[in-house]
Amino acid sequence: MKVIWKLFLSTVKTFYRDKMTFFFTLIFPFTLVIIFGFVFGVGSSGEESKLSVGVLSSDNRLYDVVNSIEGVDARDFDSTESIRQAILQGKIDAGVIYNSEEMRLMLNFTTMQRDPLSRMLGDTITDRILKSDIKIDKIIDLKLTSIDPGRTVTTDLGYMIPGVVALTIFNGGMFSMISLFGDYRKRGILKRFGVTPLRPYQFILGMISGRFVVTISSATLVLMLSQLIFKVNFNINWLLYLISVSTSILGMMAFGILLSEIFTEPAVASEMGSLFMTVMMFFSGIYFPLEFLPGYLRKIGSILPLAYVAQSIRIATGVETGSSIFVLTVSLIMTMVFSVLVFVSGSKAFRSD
Amino acid sequence: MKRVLRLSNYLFKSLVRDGSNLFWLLAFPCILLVIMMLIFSPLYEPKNITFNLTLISYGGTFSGIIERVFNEVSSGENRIFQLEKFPGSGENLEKGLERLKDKKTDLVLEIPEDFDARMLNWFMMKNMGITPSAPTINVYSLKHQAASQSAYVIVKNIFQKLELEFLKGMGYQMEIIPVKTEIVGTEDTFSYIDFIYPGMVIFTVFMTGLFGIGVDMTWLKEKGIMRRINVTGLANSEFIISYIISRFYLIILQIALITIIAKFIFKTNVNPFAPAFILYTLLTILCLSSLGFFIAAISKTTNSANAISQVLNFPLQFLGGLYFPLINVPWVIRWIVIINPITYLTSGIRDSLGIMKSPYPDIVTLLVPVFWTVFFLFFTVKRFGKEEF
Repeated sequence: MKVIWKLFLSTVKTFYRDKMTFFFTLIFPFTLVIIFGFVFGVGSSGEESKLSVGVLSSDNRLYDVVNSIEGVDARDFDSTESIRQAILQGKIDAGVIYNSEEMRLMLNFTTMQRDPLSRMLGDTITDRILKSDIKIDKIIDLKLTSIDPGRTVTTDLGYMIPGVVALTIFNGGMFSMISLFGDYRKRGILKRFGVTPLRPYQFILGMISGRFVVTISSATLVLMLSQLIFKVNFNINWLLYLISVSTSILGMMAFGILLSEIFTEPAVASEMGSLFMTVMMFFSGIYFPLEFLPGYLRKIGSILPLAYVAQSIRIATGVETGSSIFVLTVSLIMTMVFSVLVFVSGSKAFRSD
Repeated sequence: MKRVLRLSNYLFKSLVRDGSNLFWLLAFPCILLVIMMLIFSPLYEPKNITFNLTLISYGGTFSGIIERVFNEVSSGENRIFQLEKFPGSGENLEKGLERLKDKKTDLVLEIPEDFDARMLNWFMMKNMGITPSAPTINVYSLKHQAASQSAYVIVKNIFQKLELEFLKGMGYQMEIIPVKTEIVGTEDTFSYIDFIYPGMVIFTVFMTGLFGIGVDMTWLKEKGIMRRINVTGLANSEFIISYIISRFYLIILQIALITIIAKFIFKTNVNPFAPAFILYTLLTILCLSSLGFFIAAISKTTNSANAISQVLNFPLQFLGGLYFPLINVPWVIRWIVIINPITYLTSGIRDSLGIMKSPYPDIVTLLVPVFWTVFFLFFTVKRFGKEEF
């Protein structure tokens, strides 16, 4: 037990000394939260920012019509060029020019990026103009109720963060096993341990438990820091959180072991790991919506393990509802795959060395 | 000169023989281009998207008209919705909302029981010159789901059109106002590949600068290889020139690969032989290679060069406008956008090709990268001058 404890401690220390692992497990996912969070307008305040629209028309009604649209803030302009420049410099999101025969809607590229359907704004404005001519506001009142998918009310950024925690787990779990089963084997470290009285299971247990604790701490730290900095709400079911995070780490470790088995050269395994990380980052629905993707890509996204880990953590943190059975089933599968792979690869690694 | 070329050939070959370099510097940018196209292209040019819509209706004349409209837009090859209809009841509404939470549907539309009566009342009152409050239709969307929010925008648009039809039916003369939409700063025929291709060219040069020069040069320094070359009689300057030429070969190869994919698979309209494109590409090579030398100058070990490169990699990459424009981002990150040389290189190259107007004047898009190049080179020369290889 003492031996396992010592190995555990040394693994924890190694993690914080290894700049690259530290970077990819902790700094990298958090940097992406900040970048994508701000670029794609998923603010932390929870209040939706208003669309600022420049207006140019000889018809005085246009300003009032645009201003009456929910979530839109009208600003008066005196020339087409001044609207164009303001859009280009990011001072306004869109511009409307109306000459009683035709309407020109000018959009900022970023506005379209945040809301691909913002180009429909032109139709909404013309509709309001036509109705204002006959002094009718609306015939049918569409009453929108936005439902929170989870137990807690959170912002878009709050919804994104459990996915980032999942990415932290993925990186921490996968790269640690590539290092243990690939790099250590290649550098003959396992062989050297083989001639000591240390038993293989003690070595593997010590190493894995060290990496396990480091990854679970990093993941929870990302969650806590996000909560603190961006003031987002979570309603964490700690038992479910610990179960889903712990077993997800094991599952991602299993993925790392699998890569080390397929790509025996640790550098190649590591590169493949990075490639998988990139693919999963984009196609697991963590940072970008998958709904606009073609069907076959959505299907690929739905079989990626990171998507399931992210969903389990969303359920555990209360930003999404889902049955505990889903979380427990994912957890069970992750643990089973890990147990089989660690047993097979562990005994193979020590036997061959 | 001959031995400089021989050495540069050797350095180039040894660079591409390394599997890791081959992957990160040649294969990865191509893979990333494909990923970017798959993810972002449908966002900017949405097509063939079908949303799941649940319609709960108690029936009636007006409800029937609405149902027919939604049936119409939910049929055929280019249908907007995959429609499922349920008769109106509290139980069915609950069921619909459960499906919404489970993401099995994107939007729930409930036409209330009194809708028909209220619609009739509205028209009668209007004919009497009174404007009553409009009858309500309940729409339920799911927060944080882009599909749900987009489906709502479309439904809203359909109801606007429907209202106009009702008004025309009441005898109001209404001429539809045509709307012309323009994305400011872009060409009329905007395509994401034209936007992303120059960005990917800059990305490949950036990767070479950071890892192919910054990390690699530090490794040569750390392992004492430069010192060993020094005793062979080859001058330091000859080695550096050979090194630069070898990286130039690599960059040409990278750009050629990206261009082939962009041109033949994704059909970009960008002409890679346009003088402006070549000019900005050369400026990019100069600036970002200098950044690589700068990293090598300030790093003592390969590990620290790697760490510096990784720390710079993502913020400069994502906040340089390579993949998406960064016009009105908040100040928390805008300062990185402003000091980032990649911002000006991407804006300049896209502006010069007529893909997207730069928010900065031409002179700024040239001078900022030039300033950084001079700064990086000045510092590098000063630092390397003090070091003994």
